[in-house]
Amino acid sequence: MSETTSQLRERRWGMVIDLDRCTGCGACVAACKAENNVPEVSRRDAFSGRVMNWIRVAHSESQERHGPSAAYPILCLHCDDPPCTKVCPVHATYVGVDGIVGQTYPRCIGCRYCMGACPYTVKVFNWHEPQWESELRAHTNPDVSLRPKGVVEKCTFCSHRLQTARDDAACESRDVEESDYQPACVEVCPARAMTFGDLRDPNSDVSSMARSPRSHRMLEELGTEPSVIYLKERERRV
Amino acid sequence: MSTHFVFLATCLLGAVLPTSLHAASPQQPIAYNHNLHVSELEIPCTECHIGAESADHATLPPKEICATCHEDGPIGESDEEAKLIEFIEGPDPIEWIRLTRVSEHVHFSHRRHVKAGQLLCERCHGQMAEHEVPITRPAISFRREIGMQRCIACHKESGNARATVDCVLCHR
Ligand code: HEC
Ligand code: HEC
Ligand code: HEC
Ligand code: HEC
Ligand code: HEC
Repeated sequence: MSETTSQLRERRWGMVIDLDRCTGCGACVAACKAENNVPEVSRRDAFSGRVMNWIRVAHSESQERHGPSAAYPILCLHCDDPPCTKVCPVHATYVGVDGIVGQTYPRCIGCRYCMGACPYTVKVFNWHEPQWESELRAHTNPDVSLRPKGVVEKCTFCSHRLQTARDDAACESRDVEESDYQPACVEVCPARAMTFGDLRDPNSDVSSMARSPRSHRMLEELGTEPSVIYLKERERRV
Repeated sequence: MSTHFVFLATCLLGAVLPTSLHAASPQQPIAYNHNLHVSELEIPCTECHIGAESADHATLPPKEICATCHEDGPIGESDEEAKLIEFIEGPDPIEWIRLTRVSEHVHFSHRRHVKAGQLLCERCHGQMAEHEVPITRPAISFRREIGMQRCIACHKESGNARATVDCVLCHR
C-alpha cells in the first residue's frame, strides 16, 4: 500500500466566503437547515433570541448608494485555536480530524460554557425536544441525528459528508478529493460566493484565495485562527 | 408478615423477570435457518445481505432473493417454507425485524469494514452460520449491546491507521 492509502492524507478543511459576491439571499441558511435537521423554533422562542441556525446572514446597512453587498454569512469558523473547546468540561467539543471542530452530542451535558466562550456566537442550544410537523420529520436527513433537548449544536462543516467521502475513498484505495466533500451551503450558493477545500494544500482554490489581499479573518486579533476566511474589497471588519 | 412479604416479592420478581427478558425477543415472519442455507448450501452471506460490501447497511433480504430458489414450489416439506411461498406468491413484502443497530448518532459503514478493512462477518457477528433459528438478541459477538468500547478496542488493536478514534468520524 502506498503512503496515501494506508493513511488518508491529513488536511485542513476550510472555507473562503467572497463577500463581494454574496447577495445575502439566504439559500445557504435554508440548505443548511434541511441538510442538518436544524429544528424550527416557536415564535415565543424566536422572540427570546433562541432561533436555531448553524449559518446565518448578518446584514449591515451600506453607506453608499449601490454600495457593495453588506451581507455577511456567519457559521462556525472551525478555529485552529478555538476558545469554545477549552472551556468544555467533558470533551464534547474539541478539534477533531482535519481541523473540524466536533460537537459530540451524547457527550454534551448542556452547560453552555462553549456558547459563552465563542466570540462569533455560532453555537445554539436545544431548549426543547426538536419538533417537526409529521411530514417534515419524515423528510429529515437520515445521515444526521436529531439532537435531543439539552445539548449544544453548531455547524460541523457537514462532517457526515466527510464520513461518506472517506468511506468512498477507502473502498476505492484512493485519497479524498475536494470534489468528494463539499458542505451543503457551498453546494447551494447561487452566487458561488463560497469555496471549500484544503487550506493545507498550497495549490487548492481556497489556499490561493486565502492569500488574496482582499482576505481577512473575523476578529483576527483574537488569535483564534479560523478556517473560514472572508474576502472583501472595502471594509475589513463587520 | 415478613414471610408473606418475601413470598409476594418473589412472586412479583418471578412475574416481572421472564417477561422483561423475553420482551425483546421478536417473532420473525419466517423462522429462517442460517445454518441450512450458509453451512449446508454454502450460500455466501452477501447473496442475501447485499449491502455488506457496497453500502453502509448490510440489509435484510427482500423475498425476491429467496424466490430465486424457492419460487418453483416447495423444495422440502417444512411449514416455514410454505409460509415463504405464500409471501412469494402474495403481494406483501417480508418484514424482517432488524435487531442489530447502532444509535442514529453513530456512523457505521459495512463496506468500510468489509471491503476496505477486509474484516470477516464473524469478527463482529460471531458464528451466524450456526444458527438454526432466528437470533433473539443483537448479533454482536462480544456483548449484547454494541457499545463504543468495542469499536474503539478493535480500532486500537487493528494496527490499521485508518481505524479512527476521532469522535468526528463516528458521531454525527
Ligand atoms: C440458493 C438457493 C436458496 C435461496 C436463495 C434461499 N433458499 Fe431457502 N432453501 C433452499 C434449499 C435447497 C432448502 C432445503 C429444502 C429441504 O431440504 O428441506 C431451503 C429450505 C428453506 C426453508 C425450510 C427449511 C428450514 O429448515 O426451515 C425455509 C423456511 C427457507 N429455505 C427460507 C428461505 C428464505 C426466507 C430465503 C430468503 C431469505 C431463502 N430460503 C433463500 C435454497 C435456497
Ligand atoms: C439465504 C439468505 C441469507 C444468507 C445466505 C445469510 N443470511 Fe443472514 N439473515 C437472513 C435473514 C432472512 C435474516 C433475518 C431473520 C433472522 O434473523 O434469521 C438474517 C439475519 C442476519 C443477521 C441479524 C440481523 C439483525 O436484524 O440483527 C445477521 C447479523 C446476519 N444475518 C448475518 C449473516 C452472515 C454473517 C451470513 C453469512 C455467514 C448470513 N447472514 C447469511 C438471510 C440470510
Ligand atoms: C466491524 C464489525 C462488523 C462487521 C465486520 C460486519 N458487521 Fe454487520 N453489523 C455491525 C454493526 C455495528 C451493525 C449495526 C449497524 C447499524 O446500525 O447500522 C451491523 C448490522 C448488520 C445487519 C443488520 C441489518 C443491516 O442492514 O445492517 C446485518 C444483516 C449484518 N450486519 C450482516 C453482516 C454481514 C453479512 C457481514 C459480513 C459480510 C457483516 N455484517 C460484517 C458490525 C459488523
Ligand atoms: C473487528 C474490528 C473492528 C470493529 C469491532 C469496529 N471497527 Fe471500525 N474499523 C476497523 C478497521 C480495520 C477500519 C479501517 C478500514 C480501512 O481500512 O479503511 C475501521 C474504520 C472505521 C471507520 C472509518 C474512519 C475513517 O478514518 O474515516 C469508522 C467510522 C468506523 N470504523 C466505525 C466503527 C464503529 C462505529 C464501530 C462499532 C459499532 C466499529 N467501527 C467497530 C475495524 C473495526
Ligand atoms: C469508532 C467509533 C467511535 C468513536 C471514534 C467514538 N465513538 Fe462514541 N459511540 C460509538 C458507538 C458505537 C456508541 C454507542 C451507540 C449506541 O448506543 O448504539 C457511542 C456512544 C457514545 C456515547 C453515549 C454513551 C455510551 O458510552 O454509549 C458518548 C457520550 C460518546 N459515544 C462519546 C464519544 C466521544 C466524546 C468520542 C471522542 C473522544 C467518541 N464517542 C468517539 C462510536 C464511537
